[in-house]
Amino acid sequence: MTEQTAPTVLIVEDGDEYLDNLTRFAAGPRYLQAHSGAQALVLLAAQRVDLVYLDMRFDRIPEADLLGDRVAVARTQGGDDTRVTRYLARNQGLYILEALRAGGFAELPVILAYDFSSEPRRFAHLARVHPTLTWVPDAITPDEIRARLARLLPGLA
Amino acid sequence: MSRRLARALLVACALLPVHARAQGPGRPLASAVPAGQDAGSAAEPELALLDDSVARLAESARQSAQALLAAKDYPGALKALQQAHELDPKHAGAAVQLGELYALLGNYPRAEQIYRAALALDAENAAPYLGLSELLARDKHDPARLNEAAGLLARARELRGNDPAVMLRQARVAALSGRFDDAQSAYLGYYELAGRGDEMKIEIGDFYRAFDRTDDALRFYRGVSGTPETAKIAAQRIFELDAEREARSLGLAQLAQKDEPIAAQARELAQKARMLQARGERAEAERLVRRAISLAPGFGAARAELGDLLRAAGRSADAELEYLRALALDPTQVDVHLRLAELYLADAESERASEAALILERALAARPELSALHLRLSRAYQRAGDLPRALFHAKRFLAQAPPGADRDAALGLQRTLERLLGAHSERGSGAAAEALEVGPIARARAYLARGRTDAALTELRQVPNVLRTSEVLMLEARVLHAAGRLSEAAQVLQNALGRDPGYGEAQEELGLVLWALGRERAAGAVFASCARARPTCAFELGRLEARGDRGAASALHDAPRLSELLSARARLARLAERALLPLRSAELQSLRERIDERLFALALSAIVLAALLLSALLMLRARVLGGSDVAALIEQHPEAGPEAMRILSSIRHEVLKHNSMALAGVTQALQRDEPVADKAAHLERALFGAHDDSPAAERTSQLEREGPGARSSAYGRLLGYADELRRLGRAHGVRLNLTRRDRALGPLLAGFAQLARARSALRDVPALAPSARRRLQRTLEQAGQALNERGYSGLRDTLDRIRFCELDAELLERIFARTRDEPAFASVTGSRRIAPLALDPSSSLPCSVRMPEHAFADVLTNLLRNAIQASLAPDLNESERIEVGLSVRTEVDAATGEEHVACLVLDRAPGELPARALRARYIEAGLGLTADLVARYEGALDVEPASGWSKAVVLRLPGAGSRSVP
Repeated sequence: MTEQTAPTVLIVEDGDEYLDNLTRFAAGPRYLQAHSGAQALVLLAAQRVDLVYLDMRFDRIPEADLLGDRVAVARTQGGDDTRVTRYLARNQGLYILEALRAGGFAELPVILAYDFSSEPRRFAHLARVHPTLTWVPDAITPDEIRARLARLLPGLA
Repeated sequence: MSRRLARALLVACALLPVHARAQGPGRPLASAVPAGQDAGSAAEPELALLDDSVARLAESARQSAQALLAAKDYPGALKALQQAHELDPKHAGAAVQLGELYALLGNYPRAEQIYRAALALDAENAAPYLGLSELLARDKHDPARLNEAAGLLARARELRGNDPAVMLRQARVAALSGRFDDAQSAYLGYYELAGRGDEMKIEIGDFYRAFDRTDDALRFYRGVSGTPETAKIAAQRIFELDAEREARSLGLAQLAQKDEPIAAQARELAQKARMLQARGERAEAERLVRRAISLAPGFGAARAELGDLLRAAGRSADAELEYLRALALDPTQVDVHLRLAELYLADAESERASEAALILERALAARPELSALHLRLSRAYQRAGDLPRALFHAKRFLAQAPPGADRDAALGLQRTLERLLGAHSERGSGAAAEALEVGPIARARAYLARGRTDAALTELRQVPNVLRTSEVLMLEARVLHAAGRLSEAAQVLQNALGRDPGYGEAQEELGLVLWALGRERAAGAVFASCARARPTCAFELGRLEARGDRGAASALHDAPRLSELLSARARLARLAERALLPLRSAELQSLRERIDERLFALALSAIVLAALLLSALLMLRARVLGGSDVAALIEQHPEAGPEAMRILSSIRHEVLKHNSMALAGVTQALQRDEPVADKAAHLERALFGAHDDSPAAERTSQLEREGPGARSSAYGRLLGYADELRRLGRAHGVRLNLTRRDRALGPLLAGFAQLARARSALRDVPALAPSARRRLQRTLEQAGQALNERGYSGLRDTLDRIRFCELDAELLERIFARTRDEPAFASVTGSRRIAPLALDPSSSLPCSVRMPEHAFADVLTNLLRNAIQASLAPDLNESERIEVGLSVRTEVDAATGEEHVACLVLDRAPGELPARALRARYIEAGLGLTADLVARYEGALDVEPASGWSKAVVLRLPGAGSRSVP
C-alpha cells in the first residue's frame, strides 16, 4: 500500500494529541488534521477523506471558531454568554458532526473520541441522526484502534 | 448570630404558625410543618432548606456591608460583616474584609484572629497575608512577630509577583528587623517599579540614615524636589545630618549628659544592634551601638550593651570602662552592677572579688527585694575570704528563696561555712583534742572568726609536721574549702585520708569538696564509702543523688536521673525511720518532701507526654489514613457535585484520554520487542513535559523541576486538579485524602508516580539493558492498570455519584401543597381560593433530573410561590380562584443528543415577565437567587407563552440520560 493508495483519515481536534498518537501507534492511513469545523469542511471539500476521527472537546480554539447556534444554546444555558461558550466548546465535536452532515458529508464514517457507555440514550438519539457515527472509549489501546480502523477502512491492510 | 442559632430559630419558626420574612432579596423562610406530619421527620428536609436560607441571609448581609462601606459607614459595615461571618464563616472574601475593618477601627487582636482564619480558608489569596503582616509589623521590638511578618510577605510576593505594594512592605519589615541588605534590595526594587515620588525618597533616606549610611541618605534627601512641604522635610534632614557630622568632628558627642533625652534614632540603632548581636553579628552590632552612643551620650543602656559586646570579644578592660560609664549615668541599673561584678569574678586569677562584693552591695542597696543578690554576695565574699559575711548573705538568701538549684547551692555553702566557723572536731575528746585548741590552732580559729582566712592558713601551715595530725589537716581543708580553694582542699583531705583512711569526717568533707568541684561521680563514691558508718555521709549521698532541683522546671531534667532520685528517696527514708540525724530532721524532712514533689511532677509529665505522643500518633494516623474521598464529599455536600464533576471531567479528558493510547502503545511495543525509542520519548514528553536538567531546577518544587512545560503536561495538570479538589473539599469542611482514600485520584496519582520514577528510562530506552527494559515494561504495565483500569473506573463511578432527583406526580403535588399551605397564603387558603395543582396529564413523568431533591424542591417552591403571589393581584376579584398549573416535558437537543427536562409553571397572573428579568438578580419575589441555584446545576430559567395560561415559567434541567460535560 503506497502513500497514494492508503486511506485518508481526517483528524479534527483542538490540539495535536490524536495526530501524534495515531501516527505513532496506528500507522497505515494517511492522516490529515484540522483544528476547527471550518477547517475540516475546507479540507473535505478539497480532497478525498475516508474517515473522520473527531474529538469532542475543543477548549483551545478561539471562540469565534466554535460552530453552533448560540441563540438556541442560550435557552438551555440561562442566556449566559460564558455558559454558552463553554457548552459549545465541550460539545463542539457534535456541532462539527452536524456541520459535516449539513455540508453533504453525512455518509462519511466518523469515530467520535467520547465515551458514551454511561449515556446510551444520548448516543441512540445521535445515531438516529448520524447513522455512520461510532465512538471509542477513553482508555483504548492501539490494537483496538487499528482493528476499528481496519473495519471502517476496507482499503487499510 | 451563629449559624447554629440561626438554624434553631428557623426551625422554631417553622414549627410555629408565624410567617417569617426574608431580610433582603430572597424568598421567605421555610413554611410551617404541614398538618398531620411529625415535626421531627419534617425537620430533616426543612433543615436542608434552612441551610440554604442561612446562606442567602449571609449573602444579603455581605451585600449590605458593601453598601455601608461605600457610604463610609464603617461601624455599620462592621456589624453587617460580623453577621455575615457568623452565618457563613467559610466565606474567605468576607473574612478578609472583616479583618481589614477591625484593623481600620483599631481592634488589632480581633483583626489578627480573623486574618489567620481567612488564611486557613483560602491560602491562595494574598490579601490576608498582607493584612496580617501589617499587624505583626506593628510590634517593632518583637523579633518573632517581625520574622512571621517577613514570611507572610514572602508568600504574598509569590502570589502577586513583583507587586510594588508587597515590595514596599517587605522593605519596611526587613528594616525593622535590622536586615539591611534585604531592606535595601526591596526599597530599590520598589523605587524602580513604582515611581520616584518625594515621600519615597525621604523614606529611603531615613532608612539609610537609620543604618548610619549617611552618604546614601543624603543622596536621596537631595533628590527631593517636589512640593514645598517635602522639600522642607528633606532640607531639615540634611541639616540634621550635617550637624551630627560637625558635632562628631569636634568631639562634642563625647560629653556624657545623663539627663539629656535619648533620641529616637539612637534607640532604634540600639534595638537593631541587639538583633544583630542575637544573630552573632558582633562587629556590626558594635558599630551601631557606638553610633547610638555618639548620638545620645547619655544613653546608659547602650553603654551597658557595648560593655557586653566588648566582654564577649575578650576585651575585659574596655568592657569594665563601659559598665562604669553606664553606672555613672544611672547608678540604679542593677543589671549593670551584676554584669560588672561577674566581670570581676570571672577571672579566677584576679584578686577583685572584694570589688565585686562592693559592687553587689550597691546593687542590693538599690534593690533590696532581689534575693538572688544575697547568694551572689555570699559567693563574692567567700572568694574574697570574708567568711562571716558570706555566711550572713547565704542565710539571708535561704530565708527568701524558693526551691530550686540555687537553694541547694546556698544550703551547701551555708553548711560549709558553718562547719568551719562554728564546728569543732568530732574526733576524740580529752587532752589531745584540747591541746589542739591552743597555739596555732587557736590562733587560726580566731583569724577565721574575723574573716582573715589567709592569716588562718598561714598559722596552720606553721604547725610542725610532727603535730600536723589528721585533725589539723582537716581544719586546713575546711578553711581552704570555705575560701573556695577547692583543689587545694581536696589535696589536703587526700593527705589526711592517706594518714588515716577511716577518718569519716575527712571522707565526708572530701565528698563535699569533690561535689563542689563538679566531680560528682567521685563525690558519690566517697560518700558511699562512708555512708554505712556515718549517717551524715548517707544524708549527703542522698542530697547528691537528688541534686539538680530546678523548681518548676525540674521534670525535664529529672527524667534521665529517675533511678538516682528513687535511690535518694529510699536512702533518706531509711535515715528518717531510724532517726539517725535528730539535729537535721527538719532538713531531712524538707528534702524528702521535695523529692516526692519532683517524682510526682515527673510522673505527671510522663503521663502528659504519653498522652501527647498518643494524640500525635493518632493525628498522624488520621492525617495519613484518614480523610475522605470525592464520592463522600458529593454525598455529604451535593452542592459540591457540579464543581467536582467539572474537575473530574477535565481530568478524564486532559490527563487520561489523550495519553492512555500512548501508554498502552509503548507497553505493547516493549512486550513485543518492537522499536520503541520514539514512542517512549513521545510518551515521556506528553506525560511530563520537556525536562530541565539545570542545577537551578534542582532547587525548585517538584512541579517546576519537571521543566518549563510541566504545568501543561498531563502530570502537571493532574496535580493541579488534585489541588483544586482539595480546595473544594476544604471549602465544604471536608479534608480529602486523595492519595489514599479516593478510588479515582488514588490510582491516578500512584500510577503517575510510578511513571515519574521510570522517566529517565523512557527517555533513553535504546540504552537500556535487557533487564532494565523488562523492568520498564513491568512498570508501564502496572501504571497502565492503575491509570486506564482502576483510575478510569474510579472516575466513572465517582461521576455517577452525582445526585439525581426522581420526579413524579406525587413529588410535584407534595411540593405544591407545601407551598400553598405557607403562612403567607393562610388567608387565601382558608377561603379555599387556591385551586388544586393543575398537573398536565401529558407530562413526561416519571423522569429524572441532575439536581439533588432538596435543591429541586427549593427551586420549584420558589417558582410556585411566585406564581401564586403574582396571581394575587390587587384588582383581582375576591371570589376568583387562583389557578397554578404544572407541565413536564423531556427535550432532546438536536445537535448534542442531550436530554433536558423542562418543568413549566403555568399561571394566569396579569402582567409580563421578561426572561432577562427572570434571570437577573434581586428582582421582585427573589427569583434572582433561584436563577443562581439553577445555574449551579447547569439548568436555566425561561419564560414562554402557554396556551390557556398567561405564561409559563420554564425550569430546564439536565436529564438523567445527559452529561453536559464530556
